[in-house]
Amino acid sequence: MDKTIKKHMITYSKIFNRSAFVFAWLLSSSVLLLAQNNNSNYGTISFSFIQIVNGQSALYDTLIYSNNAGNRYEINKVQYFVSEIILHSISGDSVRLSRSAPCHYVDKDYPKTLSWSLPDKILPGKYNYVSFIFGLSKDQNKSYRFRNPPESIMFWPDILGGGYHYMKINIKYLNVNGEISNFNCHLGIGQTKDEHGKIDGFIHNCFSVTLPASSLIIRKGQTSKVEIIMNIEKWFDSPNIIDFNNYHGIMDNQKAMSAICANGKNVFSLIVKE
Amino acid sequence: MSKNDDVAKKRSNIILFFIFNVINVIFFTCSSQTGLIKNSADRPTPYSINVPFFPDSLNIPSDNPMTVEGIELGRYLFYDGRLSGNTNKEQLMTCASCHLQKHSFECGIDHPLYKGGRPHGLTGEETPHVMLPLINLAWINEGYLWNGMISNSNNILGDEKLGVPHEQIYNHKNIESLVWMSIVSPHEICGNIEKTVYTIQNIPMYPPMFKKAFGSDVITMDRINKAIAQFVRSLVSCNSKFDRFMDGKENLTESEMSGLYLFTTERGDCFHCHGSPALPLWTTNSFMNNAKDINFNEPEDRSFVTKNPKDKGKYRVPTLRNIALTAPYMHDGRYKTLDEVLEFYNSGLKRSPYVDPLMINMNHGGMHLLEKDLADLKAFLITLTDSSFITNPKYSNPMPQNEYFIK
Repeated sequence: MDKTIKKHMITYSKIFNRSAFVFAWLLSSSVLLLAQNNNSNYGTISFSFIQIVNGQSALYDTLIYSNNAGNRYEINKVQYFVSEIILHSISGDSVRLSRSAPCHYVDKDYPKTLSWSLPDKILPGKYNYVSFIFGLSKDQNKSYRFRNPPESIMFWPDILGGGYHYMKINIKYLNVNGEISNFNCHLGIGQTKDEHGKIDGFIHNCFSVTLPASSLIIRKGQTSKVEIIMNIEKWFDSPNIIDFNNYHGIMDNQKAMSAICANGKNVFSLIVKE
Repeated sequence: MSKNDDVAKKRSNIILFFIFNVINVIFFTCSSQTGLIKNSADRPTPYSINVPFFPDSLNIPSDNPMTVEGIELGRYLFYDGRLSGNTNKEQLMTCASCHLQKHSFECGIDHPLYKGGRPHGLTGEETPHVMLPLINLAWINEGYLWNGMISNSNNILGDEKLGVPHEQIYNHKNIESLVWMSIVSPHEICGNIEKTVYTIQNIPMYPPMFKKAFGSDVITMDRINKAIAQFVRSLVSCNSKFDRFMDGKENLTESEMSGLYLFTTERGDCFHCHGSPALPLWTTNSFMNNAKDINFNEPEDRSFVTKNPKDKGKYRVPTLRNIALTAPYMHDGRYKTLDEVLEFYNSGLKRSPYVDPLMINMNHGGMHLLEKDLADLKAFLITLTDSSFITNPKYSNPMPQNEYFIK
């Protein structure tokens, strides 16, 4: 009995090992081949986030800029979220990107946040617009979703509506007396108040930005590169002139946040890189 | 033998073969695990820190994972005055000489030896700054001490002036580094490493403890560093009244709620630097100039580390957890009470180009809150006190009756 079992075991073991190997090889080859075919039928996209002032790369911590209100200022921090990026094709179709993680944090002090390579497989073709939500969209802006810095440090207090700052631009400027002063351009959920000044409601100040991208072509098997450029000075200049002397913090000042959000629609531009 | 019997035999052989295979797989899988299990009696027990509402980005070096035995050994050394390398009762000194549990592991303002909360070493030389609490340090990834000098990006080795060799174990990167530094530093133990290692090696209870923690009863400075660092990382404070409020287990008073409102709105504007329920370490762990002065000549501020002159007067934003227990306040201990601190932020901010732009109240010299508002803010700050932490026996002196252990 022992000998028979041993003999059979050796035979079966050989057959089994060989068959298993051939089967595994066929299976993995087919999967790889299919995956390759699938990937080569689509393209991908990556975004870079660039900050400029008056057409030049932003120079931080240096008192060299002036706004339309005549304030001399320097920029110390630029931190913001974008969410729900959509590509719009000429035919009118749209592709919503990164559905599973539809927001991205940008921080001039964290180089890895300045680019975002999306995993989406995109149908090749011409796309003539890119749109996104500036800040976190209403659906995405939930308190406590980020546990770790740097994103967690963008929290927006629950008392003021919760979620996260859409943006922090921290600025030093010279006030009317020529003294150094601080201005925080912080955007997030706004508040409505009753006659006693008590908060009685919230306003989602996030807004949609649509940028022309006529030369954006997604090609099979290639990654298209797009730069999203923030023209920082435009937050303060048009259509609303923001005089830093008139504000303090603007986080619980819906009127100020609303004026700055209106300017924000003109702040971004886009370049497709070849 | 009939054909049916033959088929049945073949079938049973196939079944047997598969049973053998399954047994084989189980055997090999288990034997690779038994590689771990086999020596489990000799291996220390892994210890993990997990506070669900804290960040999950812990700063634990890969060559010093936390273990139950390592932490216990570290606790003994933390309290044993012979860490100084001395057995003479007059010259005992160890971590617990200054880091008192009742003060969130700071020395506190009422310490009988360190007047005004400013500790000094065995030589009498004062530390450059007052102390920071030893709590929740496992979550600091931005550098330790007031200026962040001890950080993973620091590549300095040893200390030439103090005769510490340029060797990897004497790096300046993490809590482990702070242990050997405390032993040689003139404003702390002012000892030498060989003497400390020799002294600890010759205390009978320690070699078996090192064996349990590190698999060897040979005592080295590296192992002493690692054991104490493990204990320090285990000092977790996450059970304040405010934590229980967030968990729905306790209510805040009207005054405490008003304080929370002031803290997390632009009226007080404390939250940008010191956190909120969404940043429950109650600090951003960043380095900021908070408008205390106009001239900045202190040599060991943040600019000492970054070499950037714009960082003058910047110091770590300390955690507000247990803040009521950790007077004196600021890097130089200039404020003795929370009331003095609040009054500074209310009306004492000084304008200078070095002040962090987040300090928008600098524009007007302070928050300008009413007396009642300040009382509410203080009431809220006190809700961040974790009484269970300062009485937790896991963190206390393991041998209070031992004459060498610091009371």
